[in-house]
Amino acid sequence: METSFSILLTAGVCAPFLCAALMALFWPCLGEKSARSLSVAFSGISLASALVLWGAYMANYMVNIGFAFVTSEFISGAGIPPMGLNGVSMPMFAMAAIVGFAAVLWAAKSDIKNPRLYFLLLMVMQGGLMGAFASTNLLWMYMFHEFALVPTFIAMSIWGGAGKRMAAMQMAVYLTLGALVSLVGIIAIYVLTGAASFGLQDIVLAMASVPISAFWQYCVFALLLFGLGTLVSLFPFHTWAPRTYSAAPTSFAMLHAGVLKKFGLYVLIQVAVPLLPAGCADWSYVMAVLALFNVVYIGLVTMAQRDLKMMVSYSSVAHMGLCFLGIASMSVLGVGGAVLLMFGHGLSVALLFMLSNAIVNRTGEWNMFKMGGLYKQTPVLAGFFIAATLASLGLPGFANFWGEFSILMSLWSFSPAICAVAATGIIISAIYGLRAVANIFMGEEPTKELEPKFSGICDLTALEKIPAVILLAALLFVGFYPKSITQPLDSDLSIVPAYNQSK
Amino acid sequence: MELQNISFDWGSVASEAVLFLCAVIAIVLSAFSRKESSIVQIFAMFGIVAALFVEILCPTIGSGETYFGEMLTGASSFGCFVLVCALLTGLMGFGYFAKGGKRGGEFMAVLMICTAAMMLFVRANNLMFAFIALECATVCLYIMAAWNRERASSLEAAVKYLVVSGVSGCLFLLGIAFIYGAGLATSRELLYFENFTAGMGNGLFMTGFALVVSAVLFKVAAFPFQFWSPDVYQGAPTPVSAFFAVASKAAGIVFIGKIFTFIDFSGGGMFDISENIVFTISVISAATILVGNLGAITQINVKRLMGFSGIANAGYLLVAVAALIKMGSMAFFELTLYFYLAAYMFANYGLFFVVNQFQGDDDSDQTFADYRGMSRKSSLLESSLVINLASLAGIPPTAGFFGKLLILIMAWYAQLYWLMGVMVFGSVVSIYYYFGWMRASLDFADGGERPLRETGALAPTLYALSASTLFFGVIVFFLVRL
Repeated sequence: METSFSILLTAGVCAPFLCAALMALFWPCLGEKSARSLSVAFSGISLASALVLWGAYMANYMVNIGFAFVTSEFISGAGIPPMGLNGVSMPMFAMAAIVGFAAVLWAAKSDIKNPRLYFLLLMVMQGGLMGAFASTNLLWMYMFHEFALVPTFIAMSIWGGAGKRMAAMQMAVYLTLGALVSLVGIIAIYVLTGAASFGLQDIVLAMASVPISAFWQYCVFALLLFGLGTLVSLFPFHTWAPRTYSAAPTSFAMLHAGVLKKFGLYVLIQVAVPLLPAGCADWSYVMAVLALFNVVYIGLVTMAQRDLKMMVSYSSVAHMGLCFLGIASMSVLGVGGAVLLMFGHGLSVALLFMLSNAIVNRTGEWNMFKMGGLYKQTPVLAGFFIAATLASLGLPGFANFWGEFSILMSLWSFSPAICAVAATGIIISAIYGLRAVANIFMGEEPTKELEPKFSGICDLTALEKIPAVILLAALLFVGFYPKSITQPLDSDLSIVPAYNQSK
Repeated sequence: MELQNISFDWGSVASEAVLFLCAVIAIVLSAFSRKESSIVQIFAMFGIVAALFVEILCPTIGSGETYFGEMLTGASSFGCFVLVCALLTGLMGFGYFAKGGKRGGEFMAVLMICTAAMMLFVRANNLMFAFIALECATVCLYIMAAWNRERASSLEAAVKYLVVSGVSGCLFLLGIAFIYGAGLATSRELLYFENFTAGMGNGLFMTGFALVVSAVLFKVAAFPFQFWSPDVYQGAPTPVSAFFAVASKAAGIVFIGKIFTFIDFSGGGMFDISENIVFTISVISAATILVGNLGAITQINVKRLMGFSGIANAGYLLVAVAALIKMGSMAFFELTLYFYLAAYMFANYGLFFVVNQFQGDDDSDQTFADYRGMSRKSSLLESSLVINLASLAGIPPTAGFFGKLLILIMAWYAQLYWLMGVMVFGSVVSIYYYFGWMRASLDFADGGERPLRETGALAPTLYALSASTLFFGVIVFFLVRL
């Protein structure tokens, strides 16, 4: 049974790459329609395998200590280290598959110039994301993460929106900076422990005999924190993110803001904090203060946005602050909350990007304050948008609620003051989220004479509803049944010493 | 010199002999062939392939023996490396001579002599022999740089290289004189590398040694001897620019690595000197990285940009050399060096092949603007451009990433932390110009008026290079457990 699951895991990671390879090989005879259907099919394989694995993991989490579904030696004989999933990576893997499938579905119905290339790049990016969360080897995590860089750059340069030239370059430079700084941190862990390989198991084994000194923990954690922090848009290094997301084509923005950005947090939770607990303890207050800037300062910046896509982009930067706060608390509750919030936020922000794209495409208007009264013309779109907004501001019933709730609870024992400031972030996000809803959908219905472009707008089509329903269903499922994530997560986090120190 | 002691081990230089022989035959053939036919070129390509086979089957690889009275060491991987470079340059030559270049057969002859000379240079075990081999290669490079002699840009490149190489040759010779004058051994053994360890405390010897190293740094285009390379790369015919960028640089770096491995720094009194040498090489490599990357930012001429990129890459390679001197171990260094050079070769030839595909025999004024709309015109050239630029920028999963990774790991082992910082900074800066080039080619707008050509032999070569760039990195996992 275990073998068939690991084959499924391999299939989930390889399917998008296989699709990309097929498209590249049969480029001349590949039609636009077959490109779309091929991508949907292979992305569907990824989604199906991720969901089956998630179900199997939920059922058997008690027997799985460490990584489950670890792929066999057959593949590692060819130089490829084993893949596997644990309580932290399982939800991320599932989210990557869900958002990836939704992004491909959304792209499949959109009207794109040169769709073959678009889907090829999208598949490379999705494969990279699935692989990044399925790897148990630090170097391979890093490599898979970097698969996204060139496709996003190309996609932004070709299909991007306003300001794409600058935004694409800024993204490439910032992401490379963050990635290389964290690569140096990863190399440091590898060399300092003298591990046999970059594999997590090997490093943990090596650390048992050669622990890293407090000084080096301090230095290496700083490298990882700021390197990965740049990738996650931690406060002073966030400037690339909003521009990138608003200029990137929708499907890439969904994957980038929803999934790729969680990678930095994932590595912090999975690798940096467990391996370097003393370093994290030294930096936790710095991390918390910077994260508060994300929550409050970026939250206020979000409030000032008029452009709908910029508002969504900034809000996604602001929410990352809460995840950092959860990690800074170094407790099972806080880190578990961060994982839940990463899951919930990935889905909800992808949904928001998708729906704002739908709104902007229909109205041809970016400025929220010029819209209004769309509710009567597009009730379904409005319904989805309101649900997504409520999810992202943490209404009970959605996955995000459990995340924000447990992070704030854990923060109280970390520092009541920080907890109090962080809680204002929820209020701020309620203000900008609900105001956006009010401005776009509520109010006077625009008259045909005054606002011709706002009349005669059609609602979401059936094909557009499918990805929205998938994303919303996943949000609600975890919202009502958080145990699907928290139980395995709890059993995996509670055996990590770093997360069980009483402060 | 006691010549009677020299044994003539012709078998050890079989590969070089094949190259020289084929070069002579090629010259004779091209003198007799009336019209501009490519028969001589094809013959020369077979000659290079034959030399490559001989080199692979050559029994001297890896043996610790010396030949010709200790003048030559056994062959190293460099021989195969530079032969592949020559092969690729020859292939690019077909494209170049098809679009208006002249005297293809003679060009191949000069290329083969240059290749053989570089192989001997790297195999040298004696400074005087190294000098002669180096000058032989350099003279060939003058001729090749000036090949398009009707064009001012090509002549300018050749003259610049002539002047700079003259200076470098003088430095080398002066260094030899100083080392000889230091008189550390009996006259027969004075200039042999294995005796250099003894000279580390001697001021005269050290001066001479520094001069020799600077002379080779000229060839590598390392700071402060880097200024010639963008001009020369820009002006020389494109296949020659590629050969300059890869083979000439590789020869210099491998030679520097080699002479430093001969010196044993572990002896007690020399510890301080080793520290100083590590520091000096580190500063040179840091400055090289900075000058190369910062200089490239403002470039829009693609061949000049490749020149600056070459300077930056020389800097990265020197980081590995600095780490080698500090650690004093050879196994990991050799892997890193040849892996990085191979990655650099695939990427550089992949790009220069694209540069060579524009019409006209002079590519020296190609700018980003010529690349606009390339993704519409040719998906083959575009994909080659994207993959190889990503490799030079060090983006996984390309080979360039693994090269940088190995160098970074070496640097951490050697505790050269600040140098790692400079390297990371340089790599981040390099994103700007490599991706800038990529972005220009992705522009769908019209603009690139210069027509492109796609010749028959081009596609397989470019596929091979791109595939190598993409998948060569996997080799690392078989060699080292990462």
